[in-house]
Amino acid sequence: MRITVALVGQPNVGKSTLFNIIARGNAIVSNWPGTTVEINKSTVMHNEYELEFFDLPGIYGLTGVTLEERVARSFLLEARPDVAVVLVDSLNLERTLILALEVLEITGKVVIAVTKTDVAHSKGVHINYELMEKRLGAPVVPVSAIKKIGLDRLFEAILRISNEDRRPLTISYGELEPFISSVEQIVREAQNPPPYPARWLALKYLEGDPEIEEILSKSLAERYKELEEIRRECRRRIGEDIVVLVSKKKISYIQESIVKGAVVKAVVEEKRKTSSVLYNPVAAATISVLFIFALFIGVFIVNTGYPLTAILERAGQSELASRIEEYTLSGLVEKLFDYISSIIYDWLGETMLASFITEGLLGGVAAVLVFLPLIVIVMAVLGALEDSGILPRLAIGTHAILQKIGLSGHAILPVTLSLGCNVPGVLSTRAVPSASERLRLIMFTPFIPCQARLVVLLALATGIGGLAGSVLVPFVYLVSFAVFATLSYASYKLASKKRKEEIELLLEIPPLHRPYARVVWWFTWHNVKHFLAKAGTIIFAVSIISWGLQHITTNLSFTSDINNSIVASGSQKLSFLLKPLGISGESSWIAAYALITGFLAKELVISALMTATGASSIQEAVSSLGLTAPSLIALALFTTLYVPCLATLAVVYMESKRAKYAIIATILMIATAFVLGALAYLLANIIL
Amino acid sequence: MEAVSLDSVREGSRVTVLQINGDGWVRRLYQMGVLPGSKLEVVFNRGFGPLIVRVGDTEISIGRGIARKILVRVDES
Repeated sequence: MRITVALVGQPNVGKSTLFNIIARGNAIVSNWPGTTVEINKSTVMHNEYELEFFDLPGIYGLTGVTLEERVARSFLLEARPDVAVVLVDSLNLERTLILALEVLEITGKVVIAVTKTDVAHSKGVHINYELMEKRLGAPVVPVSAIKKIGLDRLFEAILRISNEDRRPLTISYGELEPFISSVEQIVREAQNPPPYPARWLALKYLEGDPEIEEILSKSLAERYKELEEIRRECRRRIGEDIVVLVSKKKISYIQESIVKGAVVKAVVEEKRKTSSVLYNPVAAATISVLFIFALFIGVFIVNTGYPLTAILERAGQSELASRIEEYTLSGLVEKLFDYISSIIYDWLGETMLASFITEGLLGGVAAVLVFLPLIVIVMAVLGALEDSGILPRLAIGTHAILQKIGLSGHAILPVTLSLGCNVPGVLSTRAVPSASERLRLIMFTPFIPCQARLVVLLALATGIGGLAGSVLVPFVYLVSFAVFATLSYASYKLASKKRKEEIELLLEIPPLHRPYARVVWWFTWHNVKHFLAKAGTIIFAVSIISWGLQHITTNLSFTSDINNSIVASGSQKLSFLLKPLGISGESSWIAAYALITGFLAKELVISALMTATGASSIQEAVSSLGLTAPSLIALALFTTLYVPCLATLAVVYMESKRAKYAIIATILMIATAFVLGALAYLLANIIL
Repeated sequence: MEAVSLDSVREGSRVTVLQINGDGWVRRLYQMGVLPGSKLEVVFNRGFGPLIVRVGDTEISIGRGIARKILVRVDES
């Protein structure tokens, strides 16, 4: 028999940890219909039962403030899991129980899992679980995910509840009650009442929940006016925000009817050492920025050798530099693919099939997979920062700086993730509470150079060589961040003209702890898989198609000389567009072609350059273009700024829900790239 | 008993929330345990940048603009 179980919990209660322990690494990701919010699913056998766990996003409540809250709520209402397991934190029992009450008001089939019980015990917090269970009318099970305590009892409770018929919890809201019952009455009398608990609908309606308003106005039609009348009357009588009243009643219900007498805190009011240096805005900003900077320099060195190699080269140690580069992540992966190609050529000889496999399949896919370890490293580092509790502190530290460009500390995760890959960067904006700030981040974080663009930049930098080559990368990063900051600030100012908007920070600061490998891995995998999917689909297909186009002439016959191919003649016609960047002449079509494929995925720029020039190394490919240093600088800037890749564009569209924003973002990026590219070309010609 | 806004409260004070104005952030504050009647401890406040307050066992960071809209009574400073 199959039992569906939803895991619900506030952020930082240890929900991901519990899910990972239960799933033992076997999780499938599915999107909740109509959204891009992902719900992880894992099936576990217990006795003869098949327990299907759904890990809902971490949320503070079911009020529908953020997209994730709406998804969790609609999952509980629409998918109707057999059991909802609500996690509450034994160290923050009162606050985390609010969510439990909200779930209990929707369904009675709830198991409460009290987490971090081992820590609570050592801190002198003692909980009478039996008493709490009696008062809540739902099983209360202490668990410690990390120490794997209580899992069997949790499973038993899930099985027991799944077989029982349970009504939602009824909390008395005092003076609000008459209004709740009148609304409930009308809802029940509807011709086809919404398939949700009537009392819950009534309460949410009185609170002014826009989603519920819509549902009720549809299903009640004419009689909806009566509801509006009741709510007006209610607001007049209560004279207080209904949301405030309901929250207060919930809190006092928790304090008086659940916690009182069931929880004993041995009063050891330890004077907590506050990391006050990190709270000081100036010091925190400086430390945070330096920390992020140092971290990414470290990551860049591991990944590509840059900037260490550049420094060594300037110091005359080019041999050591190339040695290091060989053993960086991207160097090693490249070596591996070269090795595979050579085996295939040995085996098949110089045939069309060998060319297809090595250049078409391997060339394209390898060009992408080269970046996989790079992105994995970035994500793992950020995962460790997040899980350890350092990230929220960085958010506070950078808040003051980000505020100057129309963003808040909440933006720190999207921004830093984008340094790895823009797709998870854009997706991570979902946790940003302000809708307008979120839209700004969705549209402009694609300007932040990802690892793929870093590698393209490095290739072009080697092509330029000299001092100009060494400073190219920091220069382009600076320009990209400046563009990001300027656009974000401008759109903030523009939006503020219509409606005054305050950029604010409201963030829980979890205690610091050493990151758990499992949780970090989970975070990494969650953010890397988009990239893998892209490599497996878009890029795979594009590689095959572009190989075909490179080897078919305009007369539709096979050619091994790319200069005679369809691509060459097609790109030739577009290459005039690159004139402002100083790119013209015979091989200018190669640059045009590379940029066209780069739209599908930035990392393809390199493989396109290599296949089109027939060069065996990136450096060789760049130098055989015969471009001057100013043109290469302009090309580097252009490649970094123009159009996010197709996958990023797709998430920009999905997350903003409007094609308009994806189109505006694209036009903005192309225009910026042209203007700044041309400007860089002109300036570089004067300076160099 | 005088009501003051949270952003003006000295570091180290213990306060009781009296009223929260504004709309956008109110719900989130409630869910985080900050609502009329809650007892807070101001852990960090240097007159600029976000404040840090403790609610129960959790520390939360509250932007100054939001803090300005939270009216509190100082119980102990």
